[in-house]
Amino acid sequence: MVFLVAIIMLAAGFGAAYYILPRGGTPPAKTNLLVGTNMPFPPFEDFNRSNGEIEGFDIDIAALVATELGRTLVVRQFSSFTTLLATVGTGGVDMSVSAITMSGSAGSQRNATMDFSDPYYNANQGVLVQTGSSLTCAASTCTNASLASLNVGVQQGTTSESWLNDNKVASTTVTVFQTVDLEVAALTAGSIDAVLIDLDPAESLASPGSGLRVAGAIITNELYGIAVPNGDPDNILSAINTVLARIRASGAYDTLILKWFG
Amino acid sequence: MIRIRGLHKSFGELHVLRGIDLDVSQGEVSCIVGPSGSGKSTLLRCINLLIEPDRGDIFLEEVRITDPQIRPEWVRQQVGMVFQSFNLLTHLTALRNVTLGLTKVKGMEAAAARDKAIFELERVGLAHKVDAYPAQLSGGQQQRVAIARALAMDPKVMLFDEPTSALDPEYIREVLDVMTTLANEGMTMIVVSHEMGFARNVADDVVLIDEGVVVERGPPEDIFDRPTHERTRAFMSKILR
Amino acid sequence: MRLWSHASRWAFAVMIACAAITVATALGQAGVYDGRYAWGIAAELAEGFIGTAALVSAVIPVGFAFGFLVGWGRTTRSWFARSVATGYVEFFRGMPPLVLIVFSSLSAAVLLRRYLYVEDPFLASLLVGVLALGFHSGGYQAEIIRAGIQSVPRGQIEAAYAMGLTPRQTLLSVVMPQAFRVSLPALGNEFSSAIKDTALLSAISAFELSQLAGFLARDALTINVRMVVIPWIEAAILYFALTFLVVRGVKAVENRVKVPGLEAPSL
Repeated sequence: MVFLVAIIMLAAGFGAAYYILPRGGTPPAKTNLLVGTNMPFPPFEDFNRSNGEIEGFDIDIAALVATELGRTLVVRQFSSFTTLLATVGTGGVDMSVSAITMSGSAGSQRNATMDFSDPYYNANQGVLVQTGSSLTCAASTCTNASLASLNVGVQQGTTSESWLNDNKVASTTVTVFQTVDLEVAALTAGSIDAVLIDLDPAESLASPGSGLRVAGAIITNELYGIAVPNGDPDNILSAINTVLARIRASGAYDTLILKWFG
Repeated sequence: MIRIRGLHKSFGELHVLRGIDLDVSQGEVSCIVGPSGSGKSTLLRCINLLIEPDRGDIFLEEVRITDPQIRPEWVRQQVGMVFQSFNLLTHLTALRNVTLGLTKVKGMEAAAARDKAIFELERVGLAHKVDAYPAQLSGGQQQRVAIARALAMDPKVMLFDEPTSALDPEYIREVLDVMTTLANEGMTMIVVSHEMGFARNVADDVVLIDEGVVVERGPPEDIFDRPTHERTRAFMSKILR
Repeated sequence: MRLWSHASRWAFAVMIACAAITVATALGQAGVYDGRYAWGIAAELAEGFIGTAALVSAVIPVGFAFGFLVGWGRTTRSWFARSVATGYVEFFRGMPPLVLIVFSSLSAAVLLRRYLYVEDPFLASLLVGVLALGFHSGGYQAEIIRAGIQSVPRGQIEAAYAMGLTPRQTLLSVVMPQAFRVSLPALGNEFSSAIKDTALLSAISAFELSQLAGFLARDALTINVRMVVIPWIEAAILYFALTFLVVRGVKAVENRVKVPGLEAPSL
């Protein structure tokens, strides 16, 4: 009896909410800019222990956009890259600055669910190994052949994963991880031989004393873009592009590069 | 006190009670015997409506309790039952077992219920075990608590479903003694039992039930010593060694 | 005699703990690991511990509440209640908790943004994810409680009815107390499972211990690669402590509701 009543109440509540809740029409103006990002991906976004903030190149860019729009920056971290992409696609965040590749096959796939700004960074892939690893690449440039017979870790949903799956030689094993933390931990422990990740994070992770080094770069010439939900429902894309153009012209972009990439 | 007319009960395909007619007068001790599967337990459980009869009527003091308007709980307050496997509530002390019905069903105050419970437990000889849990009692003691529990409700009729069949031999005596005392005090009792000694000495009426009908009934001497029906003779010869 | 054995058990435990701390400190000073670092991150991990404890204190009660209702619903006479309850159990046990958490949390976030114009639905979506995990745990707890209810001997229910108790009175006075007692050990088991499952809530950015340990471990890379394992060891100790506390709590409840004479014999 109690159950019947409960079910009926639930259904009634749902029905009532459907009619009561506002739909369509003009939503109220937003005061926040909700930005989604996936950490850690230094130096683009990382967690600063001393002040408990999320910081990075991407975050600074997002801050500039927020100022341009006159809104308060709110950064939300997603612990899985695929979850982040899904959230952007469904409008769960206003925009996402998270080293998202907009070019190539991955880019066109992502274009189905999100729109991108003008490119704001040019990136390549890097191969991260333990310092003691025997892997060397001629002229610090690796190819898919360099990864033969190796167990290579990648983060799920990234271009690293798609590049490796598309280009690997038969003897390469691919291990997929949810976060960068996990793949770095596996590499340090020795359960995988290498990690394929964007070059800048690779260099950032291979800090002195970390026991890791970059064996070499894989040239993919990827372009990062800032993502908004499909159709730019919030109408912020033009503002984003304005900001990007302005900082390039004024030299503020170069200052940021210097700040984060040394 | 109890009148049963044309009682039928089936469980699926199995037609267990096939038209039972029975009368039990006030103060009478009626002993029901018969082969297993004859429907004795089912009959007992119909009297206090634990089982709903398919057809037929049961009258308790001229009230037709098989009337769907009658609340089973009302009937059960007036009909006490003692089970073969005692069925004490294992998470409660002997005292709490007895007071539960008093407080929850009769709505008695806790203090009054406690007094009554102690009285009933003294009556069955277990005043010293009021705070014991069933797991700490012997089989005979548990059954006596069960009897006290049923008596506490001041029932008009007491039903006993093979009360000693699950007891070790050394405990059967103490339970039968309590039942005998109860009978002598004038309680109306319907007892399903294989204890022929009890039936012969205490029962006013012995009823043989076989295949769901009453085959024969009468005073113990008649049924045991001078059975008239063939089936009665057959049953008696099997159990009276 | 009982008091002494009780006290001596505690004294023994304290001695073991002191010995362990002494050994750990000595190892640190001997350079096996960086003692200062280990103690330094302990404070941060303690915050993570509190975060996990907060999540646990939401997940377990939600699970118990729904587990109780649904477990009971599975045993009622109402066909409707049984169907709904069975549906609940099948759904929430069959769904991988991570999928459940992420899906429900993100759906909530998107719905809140789109229809209620909530700008930053983080807290609400976190709550939804926690509730989802609670429901998941509830699915398992429901089965435990159902088994407990069904373990109450039918004869006792008969006897209760024979005394004139209504089905509802019987449920409250006869069935539930015994079902609860019987269910406790298995529930303790499920609680410790739920504690570990809270680590999944990091997928929706809940502040909890395992994700923090991961951060600190990677951070340790910038100091010295040999220290990477320290945050994980400390986190493991904290998880063990939390599980130990919860299970002990359940055991304490077990002892309080224990029925004399029904203790299981030692084999």
